[in-house]
Amino acid sequence: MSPDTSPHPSREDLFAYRDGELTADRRHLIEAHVVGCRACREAIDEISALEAQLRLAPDGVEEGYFDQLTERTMERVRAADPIPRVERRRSVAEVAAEETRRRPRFAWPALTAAVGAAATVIVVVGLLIRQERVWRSAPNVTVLERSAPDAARQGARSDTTVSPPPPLPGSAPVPAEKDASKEQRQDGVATTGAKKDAAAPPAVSQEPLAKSEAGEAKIKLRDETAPEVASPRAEEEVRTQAAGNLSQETARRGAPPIVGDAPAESAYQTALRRFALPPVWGPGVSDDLVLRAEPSLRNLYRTGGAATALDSARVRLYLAEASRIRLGSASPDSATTEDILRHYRRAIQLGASDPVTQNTARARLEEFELEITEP
Amino acid sequence: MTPSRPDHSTLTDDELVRLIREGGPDAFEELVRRTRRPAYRLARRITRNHEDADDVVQESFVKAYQAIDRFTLGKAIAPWMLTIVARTALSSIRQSKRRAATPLDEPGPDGSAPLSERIADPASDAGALARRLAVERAFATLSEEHRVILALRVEGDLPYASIAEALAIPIGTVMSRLARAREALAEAMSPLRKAVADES
Repeated sequence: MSPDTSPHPSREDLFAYRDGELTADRRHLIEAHVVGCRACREAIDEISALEAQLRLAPDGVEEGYFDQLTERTMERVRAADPIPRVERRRSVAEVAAEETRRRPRFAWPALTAAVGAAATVIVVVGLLIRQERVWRSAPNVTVLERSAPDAARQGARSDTTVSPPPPLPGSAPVPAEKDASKEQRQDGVATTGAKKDAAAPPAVSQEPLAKSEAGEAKIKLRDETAPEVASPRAEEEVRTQAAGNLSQETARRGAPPIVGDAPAESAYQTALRRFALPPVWGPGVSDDLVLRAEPSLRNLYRTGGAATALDSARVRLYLAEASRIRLGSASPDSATTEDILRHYRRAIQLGASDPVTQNTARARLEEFELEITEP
Repeated sequence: MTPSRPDHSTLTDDELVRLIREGGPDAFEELVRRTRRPAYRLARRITRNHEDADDVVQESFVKAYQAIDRFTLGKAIAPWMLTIVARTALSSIRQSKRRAATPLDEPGPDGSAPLSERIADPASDAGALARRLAVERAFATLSEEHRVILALRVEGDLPYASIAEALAIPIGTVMSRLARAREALAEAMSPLRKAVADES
């Protein structure tokens, strides 16, 4: 065979040809060259031989390791999905069906709220129109200058409340503010505006809101289309109520409040705070608390919820301790022993940035190793 | 008496996936059995230590189980699984900066035998072992980028498209990076080749 004198293909093409990753046209082209080019054939052979050596490397694990790995993996798989898939599917379908059945029932409160809000707006608009008539009779005062701030104040207050209707002009807005401050404690996100309103004098703090509400009030006065105006308001109330429910739910679950520039709390910190546990396990920590916190911490471990290496190290330290507490004075079986050892070792590795975590894990690992080797 | 576990070993990938979707973890165990070895080897090559590889494999299988509904029937399950392993392993090594390679001739962190002994196959002769160690040494000198892409190709036997998906890079980049990695491996072998020849 005569040597191929065409230029060598690029290494990318040559290796892609070897890997069977080229299109038919390209493959034929490269093949035509490789068949007659010794250098290219040798380059392919060399890479093939090196990769074959890498593939030949034994696994480097003890006998039975893969079966143990499977067991441990399946434990985690089952624990991560405690509801069998079939049941979960059924329950999802049931929930969907239930939602459909519920929808008409949910429509009543929404409708009631909408009608209530519409009625309120009609009353407000009526009062404003009456005021307008009075103001029109007063000298040197325009409609907008007088009516807008009042309407704005009503609107601003109704935004900070959940269900009560907006107070009539001149009535005391105390319950609304009380509700707003209560909600603010529960969820800083949903009530940032409410917080500002409660903290600052209304005349200053509500200015941006007052402007937009003023615009709204002006439209109401000119169009007098109460039902059309009331509908978005009703929707807004429903949304506010939903946000309130959500914030209560968030508060109930112990999610961190996000207020101002305070740094966000990690999932690990939240879990610990819920159980009043210190950041790093220590000998003084109550066994009972550790066991109570274990499911939450285990969940963080399984789902990768511990965002940083240090959090992960500390979670592992707690999990190792929880396993030891549950073990009591009994001798651990090989799977439990391995689990505990693994947690301590990883805590030592991942906790490198914090001497307290690392040293605690190291000391506990040594103690545990002594325990399991002693007869 | 506990009921015997049904044998899923003869099922095709698609049949297995359907069973997992309908039934749950028992069928998934078969998938674990089918892919655990390449999964571990791939994770080990990327993380460069047993502990991390062990963790990565478990995490990857949990993720795969939770994402099984997103698997496209008609495709092979192994590349899909190994893509998850690769991504989890990469995330693991990025999470912790510790990851020094376990030196070939030092005991492992858990007191286990050195890597040179662990990869020694008693059935092979001294020359073969020396060659294999030389390749491992050369592989260990490569950059992380090159080790990872070679591991995906060698241990996972993944097609370029799957490698591209695992690394979130275009196929063109897979081609060029893999070519550079292979050249780097061959280059790293050059000085070692002579030593191997001298030893054997």
